[in-house]
Amino acid sequence: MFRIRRIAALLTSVLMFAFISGCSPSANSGGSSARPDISQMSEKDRWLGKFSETVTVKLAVPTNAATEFPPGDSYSENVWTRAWLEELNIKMESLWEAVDAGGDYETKLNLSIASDDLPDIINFKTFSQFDKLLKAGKLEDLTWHYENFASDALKTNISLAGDAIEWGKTSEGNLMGIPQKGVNYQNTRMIFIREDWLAESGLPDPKTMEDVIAIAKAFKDKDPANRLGLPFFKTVIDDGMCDIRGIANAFGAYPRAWFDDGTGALQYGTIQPEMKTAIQVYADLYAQGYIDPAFASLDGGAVGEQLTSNKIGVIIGNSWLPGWPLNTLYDTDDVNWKVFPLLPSSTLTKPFKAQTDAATGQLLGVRKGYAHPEALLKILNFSIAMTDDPETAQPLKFHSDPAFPDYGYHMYNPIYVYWSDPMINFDTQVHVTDAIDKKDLSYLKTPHDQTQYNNTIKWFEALEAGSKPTGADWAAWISWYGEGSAFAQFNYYFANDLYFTSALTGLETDTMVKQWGNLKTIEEQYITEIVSGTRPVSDFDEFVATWKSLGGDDIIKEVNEWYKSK
Amino acid sequence: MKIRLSTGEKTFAIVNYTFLTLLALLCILPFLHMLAISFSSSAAATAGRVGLWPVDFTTASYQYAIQKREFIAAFLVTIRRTLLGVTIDLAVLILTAYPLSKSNRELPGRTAISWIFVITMFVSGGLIPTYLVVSGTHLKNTIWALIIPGVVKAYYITILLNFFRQIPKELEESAVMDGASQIRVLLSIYLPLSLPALATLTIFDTVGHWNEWFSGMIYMSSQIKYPLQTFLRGIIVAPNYDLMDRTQMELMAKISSKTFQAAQIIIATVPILAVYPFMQKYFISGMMLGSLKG
Repeated sequence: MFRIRRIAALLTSVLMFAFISGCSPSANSGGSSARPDISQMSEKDRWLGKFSETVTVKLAVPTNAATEFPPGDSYSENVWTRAWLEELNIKMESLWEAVDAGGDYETKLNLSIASDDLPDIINFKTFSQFDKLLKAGKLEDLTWHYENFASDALKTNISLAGDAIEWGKTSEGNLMGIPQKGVNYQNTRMIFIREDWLAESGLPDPKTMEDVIAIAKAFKDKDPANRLGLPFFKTVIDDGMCDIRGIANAFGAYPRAWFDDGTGALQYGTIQPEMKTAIQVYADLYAQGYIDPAFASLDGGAVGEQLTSNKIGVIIGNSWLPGWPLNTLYDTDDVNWKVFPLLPSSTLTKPFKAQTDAATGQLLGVRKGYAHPEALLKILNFSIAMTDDPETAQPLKFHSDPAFPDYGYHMYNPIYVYWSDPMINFDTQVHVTDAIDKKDLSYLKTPHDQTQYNNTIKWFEALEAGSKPTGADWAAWISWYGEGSAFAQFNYYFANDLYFTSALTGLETDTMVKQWGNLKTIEEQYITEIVSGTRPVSDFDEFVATWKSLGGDDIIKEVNEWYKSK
Repeated sequence: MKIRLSTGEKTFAIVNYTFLTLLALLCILPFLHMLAISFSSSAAATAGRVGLWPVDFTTASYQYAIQKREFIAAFLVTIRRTLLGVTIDLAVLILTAYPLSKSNRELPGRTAISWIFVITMFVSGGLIPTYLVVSGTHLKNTIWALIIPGVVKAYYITILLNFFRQIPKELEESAVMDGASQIRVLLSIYLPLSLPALATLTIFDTVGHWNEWFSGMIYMSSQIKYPLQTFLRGIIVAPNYDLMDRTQMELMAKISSKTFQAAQIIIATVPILAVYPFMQKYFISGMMLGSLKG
């Protein structure tokens, strides 16, 4: 099955190349696009005004098979599409749908490109697909439309996300794509420790990464037959569940990220000597029996199983862990966890930083020749107005309603891009905590505050009523309430300037397109083999040499050329 | 009279049966495990406490699967495509294999024609040209997109063709002597004698249609038209862990609900398992014993 897909993907890309290079590149993409007369329009008309005639927009919808719709609704007929028609006079038509997982969406978009049957607004999941269409002259220039139709709220939120607006620009400065989201501040690692086991061990709260490792060891030593030390799994670098990133950061390494070495040159994190130290830590833990020998075959689901069957007491992972699978453990065994920010190693000599995901470079584009490019901007303005703007938002209708817990209305938006304030959860954590502590709802400023407050207050209501809160209530409480909550750790990182973001955003160089997948596999293979003792730690140097010779050197060169030209 | 087995033969039999039993267990145990999970409570399944027997027996997952609209729709699409697809495939298969099983004298150019079919086993048009043809002929979004592109299966034709050739020529000659036409020869002699081969190919083809997901993904534009396996793939393929708020976390919990996945897989597998016993009776050899004398 996977082979078929790989072959299909290969054929697709080969033929795509043939197809696109056959197209006459209308390089002068600055040609006159559809521009409505705006001289008579007020600001409000431009941002959220109705089209005078119904405008049809054809979309390709990335779907999630688990999404539940109210009876009769679907991705092409739901609260959002009805509101677009009523409020904006935009009629949504689904060109096709595809699951946004396993590469299905990308494959179908490639077929759409090859058969020249493009959606009017194109949701790009990879930068290379955007780049191909751009070079083939198939995208509409959005510079003028963004200037005149993007609302202030949209422009502000995009500007808060660093240089996001730059990714979609050509070297001449024409805006050809609107970014989908900025830096993901929530993808930073944090430490979860089981409260009951920590009390039982008599150890104090950790101050350094060495303490955390000692705690994980102590937990395992207490009951070696049934417990594991530190969880680790096959996605060794890149998955928030329990990858190497947390410990790597503690030792000053930033896997899969680019940083300025102080001389104005970019360096790649995975091949730095600090990374060797982090791998050494895991290799030692493995040799001493503190890592599951089967780790290389475990996926997130398997680690979830180990967590819920009371085998793990320390996990260094992402803020969503309370939502799954830790909530299940609360449901079954009343287990509570203590949350700590990522802690530096006591041997670290440079300033400690916690790494977060750089923006992925996902863009929205408009098909060349589509008559109403401003429809895209009106849709984005509308999303902010309905979910984020304190004056106009209707979160119960457009986000989620506690009365209908099965329906996440914001998941139905066929253009799943909201551009809320990138820091929104930081404030919400503080607002929710204040509102609960001071019993004063006026601390809740935004609709998002209100939604999360509604979820979190259920924990307190259940305790007051003397009943056991559900796992979901617990997850909300541990995510939002107080200094020990998951989202409070992000506030801590931010307040102490501990965030590290890759200096490379939204760019894929030519060699990256060809070699990146391969290089990633090599990284994962070497780390897995060194940790499991198949290779000595000294083979890290061999890994660096291999990585560089297989295209890594070219990529470093290309990335630095781009960096200098910035 | 009882045949006495030598020690060597006995040892072989024991080793042989042990090995085959282990092999059979290897195939059936995962299925039983899945069955047990589908009838267990979600918490027990996530904690890995379920072995081959359900823990905290419940049918909640089945009730949930059965009331999920997309699942039912996908199930019906698959039943329709399998019934239609297998019928049409077999008709085309028989009508192609029969003439090609004749000699070059009876069907001039037979070898050349056979090669045209054989070549397609090794070289295909590729994904994009195939897609362009299917969308250019307006098959997209119809059930025919799942049937017509794969209607001629060169591999099956080769099998059936060779089976036809093993049937003694004299049977056909005797029928022709009695005045039978080619159609009559096919229907009254070749087909009844080829039942084992036809039954095998029917099972292959049924399983093939039942399990195929790629064309559903490529040619169907909305989830409601997906066949069962395309739909199942959507819920089983690992989702993005790039999760941001609680609603998505809950969704994640739902997606990763092992019991729900297991229930849907069981529902999807049982019908195809049920086909085998019905086909069993056609696997009879020796049908042609005694058909020729002298």
